[in-house]
Amino acid sequence: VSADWTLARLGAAVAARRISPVEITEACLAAIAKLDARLRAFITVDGEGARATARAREAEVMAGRVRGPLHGLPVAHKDLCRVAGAPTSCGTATADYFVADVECTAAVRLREAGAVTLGKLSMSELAVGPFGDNAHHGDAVTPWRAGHCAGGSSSGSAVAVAAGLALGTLGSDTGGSIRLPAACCGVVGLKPTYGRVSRAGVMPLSWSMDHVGPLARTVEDAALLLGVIAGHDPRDATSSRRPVDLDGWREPVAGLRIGVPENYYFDGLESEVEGAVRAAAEALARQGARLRALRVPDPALAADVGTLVARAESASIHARLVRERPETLQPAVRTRLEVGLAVTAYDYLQALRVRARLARTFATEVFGEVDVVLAPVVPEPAPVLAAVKAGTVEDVVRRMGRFSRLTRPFNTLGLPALALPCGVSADGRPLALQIVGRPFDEATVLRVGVAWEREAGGWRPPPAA
Amino acid sequence: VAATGGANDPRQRAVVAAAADLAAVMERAAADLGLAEEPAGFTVALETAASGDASTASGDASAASGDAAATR
Repeated sequence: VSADWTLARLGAAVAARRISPVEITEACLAAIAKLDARLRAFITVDGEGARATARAREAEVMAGRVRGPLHGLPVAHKDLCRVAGAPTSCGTATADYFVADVECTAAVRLREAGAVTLGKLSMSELAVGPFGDNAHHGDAVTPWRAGHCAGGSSSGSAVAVAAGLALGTLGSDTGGSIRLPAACCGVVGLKPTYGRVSRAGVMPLSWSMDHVGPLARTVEDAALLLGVIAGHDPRDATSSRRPVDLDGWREPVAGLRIGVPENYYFDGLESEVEGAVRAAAEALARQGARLRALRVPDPALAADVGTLVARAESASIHARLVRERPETLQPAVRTRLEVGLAVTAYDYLQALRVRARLARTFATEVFGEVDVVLAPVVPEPAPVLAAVKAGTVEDVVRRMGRFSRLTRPFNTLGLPALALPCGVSADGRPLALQIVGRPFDEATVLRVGVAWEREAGGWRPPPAA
Repeated sequence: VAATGGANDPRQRAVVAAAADLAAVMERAAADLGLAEEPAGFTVALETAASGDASTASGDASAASGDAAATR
């Protein structure tokens, strides 16, 4: 798979009959066959199904029918999205753990837009865990550096895009699970506003914290995917009826106000991470954006509120597994779910009330001053896989919390947050920044992202792929 | 605590400690909450803070999904 293959570029080429969906699909399947034993991005590959769909999309092109910019392009979905004809393990030891009457709405929308589904992607068990390790299906690894984390929980979604095994993927993000693997694998990942993309047909981990979103090689590709999957869905009671408006994301950033937090987000970072994010802010300022240093409302509290809410809700959803087959769960996953069983109704309700207060305060105090906030995604580049799994279960759980501390606050607040590459560390691991916007203002988040991406010279593939 | 295992089980100790820590944080944070702050206020805050003047109708909480889903 060519390093310069993007959804946008290939979509135009397919429409112009310069390349066939069959050719692209075969290239991805060949890359899976060559690389996936090492990278462990896929749990299920549907080669025959993908070939059949690619042939059908090719026939449509030849008949003059192009469904849209994703027509005939290979995608894959995190293995918590229910897709007809394939099991949904959710990263557990149970082959078909999640059953539902409906297919994943986002996956269906991609299919109806002409995309070709290659299969189901690896993930942390039950979407719990930021590193991408999985005792049942194998540890996904970043294609950038051997033995280093892919990030999680949407580990396979990021690895597949980075290594060219798929050109766009679906992930889910309850505490950073789209943005963390995007950061570890050097790709773009977008957590949309809560309610922007339907969660129907997707295994819930935490109803009020779960977000479904795209991962891709470029900001433009993420925008294309979002444009297809976003919008109201009556099958998801939390789906917003607000119209999708992505217009303007190609506009220059001159005049936009970019907030750089003075508190929390730059504490305790590895120096290369801080340097890269601050350099990106300066580059955006050179394009005419106005930088403003500001204090953001208590991110540590927002992270803790999110943790409590997610623990309680996930325990409620997965109680049967925890109670009946706890020995099948990885120890850290089991521990986190059991914490939820110990949370009282009083604390859960107080957390929801605090969350409402934080969301209102953030909107007033931050978005009254700036249009977006710019922050790092992870405190360190992709760590060594063996190191993050070492020690007691308490060590591992604590490490998980530290690694996701910069992403979790924005799940609590429900705000759109884009993770994208911003360079590479001296030892060859991707660095990343996070752009956070007003509720339902994904367009401005993408606008800042594409401005930075242009400055950085566009998509850069990992050397190993 | 519903966790299995005895009090000396390190994993259960971690469970109890984590739940207690979170409860303490919430107790401190909730101390200055107004009585009117409601659990559903989060989604209201999102819609209210959204830019533009498009429809502000939020996800219809009464339109609960009628489709069954389960975990095995």
